[in-house]
Order: sequence, then C-alpha cells, then structure tokens
Amino acid sequence: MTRTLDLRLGDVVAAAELLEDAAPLTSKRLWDALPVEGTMHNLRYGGNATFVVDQRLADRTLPVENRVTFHVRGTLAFYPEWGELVLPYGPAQVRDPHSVAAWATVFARLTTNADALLAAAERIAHAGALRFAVTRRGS
Amino acid sequence: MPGRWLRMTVDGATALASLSDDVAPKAAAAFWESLPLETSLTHTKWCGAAASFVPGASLASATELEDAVCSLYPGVLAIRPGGGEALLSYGDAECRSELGVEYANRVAQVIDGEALFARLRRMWEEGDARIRIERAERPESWKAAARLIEVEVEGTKAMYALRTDTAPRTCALLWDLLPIETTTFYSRWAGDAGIVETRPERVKDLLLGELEAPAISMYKGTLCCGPTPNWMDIYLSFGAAECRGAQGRRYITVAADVQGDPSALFDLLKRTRREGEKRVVIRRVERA
Repeated sequence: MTRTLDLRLGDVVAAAELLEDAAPLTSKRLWDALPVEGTMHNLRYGGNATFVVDQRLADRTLPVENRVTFHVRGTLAFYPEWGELVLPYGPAQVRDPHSVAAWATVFARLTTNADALLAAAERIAHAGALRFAVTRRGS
Repeated sequence: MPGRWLRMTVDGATALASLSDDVAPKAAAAFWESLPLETSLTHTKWCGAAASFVPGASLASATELEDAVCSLYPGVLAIRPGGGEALLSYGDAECRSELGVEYANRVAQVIDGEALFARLRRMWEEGDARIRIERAERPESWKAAARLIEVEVEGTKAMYALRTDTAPRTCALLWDLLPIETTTFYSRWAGDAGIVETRPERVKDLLLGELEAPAISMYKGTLCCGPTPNWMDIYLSFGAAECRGAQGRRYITVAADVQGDPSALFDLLKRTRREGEKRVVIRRVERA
C-alpha cells in the first residue's frame, strides 16, 4: 500500500505519496525519521524551489536514487549530503556554491492541494520564511 | 582613495560604497547617472549570498562586458550587461542564472558594510526590502586594513592589505610564511596572474571545513591563495583572471587587495609572459 505524507507549510496543508519503488532507501529513511519540521527558505543557488534541512537526515553514504538535476514541480526531492528536503515550485536545479549541476533523489509526488502548497512556497522568496512540517498520514 | 562615492540604505542600514570607475567605466558612469535610485530589493534565488534589484533604464545602454567577473566578493555591486539585474553581495556569491554561470560588470564596492550586510542577510528570512542608492561625499577616512604585506618583483614594490576579516586562517598562514623569496611565473591557465609556488607545512589546515572567501574570479589587484593538500599557489592578478587548471575551474581564497598605484608592478608581472619567471619577494610590513 502506498504510504502518504501530510505536509503543512504555514497555514496550507497538502499530501504526497512516497515513491517507494523508485527510491526505496530514501523513502524508508525519511519515513522512519518522521515527523520532520523546520523553517522553509527559498534556495539561494538552485532557483525556484524551497527547502528545509534536518541534520538528523544528513548521510553521505545514502545513495542518490531516482535522480534528477533539474527539479520537477509537484515532486519532493532529497539531498542526502545535507539532509535537505526540497520543494520545487518552478524552474530549479540541484546546485551548491561550488557547482551548477548536482543530483538529488525524487522521493515523493504531491497528490492533494498541490497548487495551494506550491503557491505558498513561491511566496517565501518575497514574503519570508515559513514553518514546514512533514508527518505520516494518520499520525 | 577612490573618486566617487555612493550611499546605500536598506531599511535604515547604511553603508558607503566607492564607484568602480576603474574596472567598468561605462557601466559605472551609466549607474552614476541613474542615481538617486529607490526600488524593491529581493534576495537572489540563483546567485548565493546576494540581493538583486532592477537598475535604472540608463543601464540598458551599458551592454559591453567591460569587467567580466563571475565571483562577487562581499560588498560588490555588479550589473549584468544591458542592465537587466543588479546584484549586491553580502557574502559568497556568483553571477548565475538558470542557464548556469554568467558574468557581470562591477560598478561599486561597499566599504565597512557590516550593518548593511546583516540587513541583507536577514532578507533571506524576512523577504523583500527597499533599497535607496544616492551619491555621497567622499569620506574623510575609513577603517585601515589590519595587516599589510609588500610584494617586490625585481625591485618594484606594491603594498597589499590582507583580508583578515573574511579569510582569517589563510591570512594567518600567509603571514607566518613570510618572507617568501622565490620566483613568479605567468599562469598558463588562469589568465593575467603571476603564480608564486609555496609549500607551507600547515596548508592542510586550510582544507578543513569550507574554503575561506571562495572565488573563481581573481579581480585585478587581488592576491589569492589556492591551497591543496601539499602546496599552496599564490596568485597575483594583474588583469582578467580566473582560477583554472587542466581540469577546469577551481576555487581559491581571496586573501589581499593591492593598495595605491600598482601599475609598475603589474607591468613587470605582465612581462613574465614573454620573458619568463622573475624573482619575487613577499614580506610583512611592520607598522610602528
């Protein structure tokens, strides 16, 4: 059965499904670590995406699965080196201060209220950071 | 002392900046003519520790890439050719877009900008702000550099001020290494820069954690240090230069800025391209 994530960004709630077949190791690591909470900022190097860092999740040994360099709107990505969850809302790429092309794992797909969640994420760049939380459905 | 000055204000945080007439005269002149300017300021999404705004319409005519820098050292105000965007850096930043790495013209350099930088940094948390930039009087003085070093090539000297605030570990290692007496030679990969090879024992310390004051672009007149596990190259930039090697671009630490008129030293460094290596001495300047 597909596992569902409940997402909250500011006052907006949405849901996403874990892509366990495409990213099994990452999905398990994140599911086991939930809930994840933090302050969501816009990326400083990667463009139109927001992110939260949870240092508990940082793991250089975790492989990149289902990998992308260009983020896909409507998905959630994970960058294991920093424990970084990324929520893209427009054209964006996995980058860092010393690189303009890195890789991340796409581990979930938005299923409910995606447009409202992404609109809230897009406002962060101009209106400021927001609290973000990911919990297991039903918890 | 630079000739023309600006005052930048972001929600009450103010700093003076010198106009970079010397590196991008056309863009700097167009920017000067556009002042005063008051507009919305947004934290950049692609360029790192920098905020961006749309400069005045007069910048549309400044289409030439006069300066061509990618790295934006703290306090640099740079404008993309054609004036589409101005970037004001408060930390480590690069001129980039969704297409990748790009280049811009420096038009101003903030002096003693800690309060302004703190306000710009907060934009990442708090969102957009307003910026006002206006012409200002030349200041009577500003904070003197903490430490000075002297570079001498075949009897011709120039002074450099160490960037002890942004590259403290690199500057300390360099200071401890002095005096250096060796040769300098023209860089094959990096453009207009003379290289001084050193082998400091503690160079590995500089590779622990993040590289200090990282940059690709070596602005004309900077002294940059490229640490590796076994050696450290010192670059003396005298023109357009980027740190590159056989395997492509790489990051170095910006460690010092030339002071006064360095043209005689730069002429000698330039001649290494045709004449080969020259003797160089880098020494401390002990102040009374």
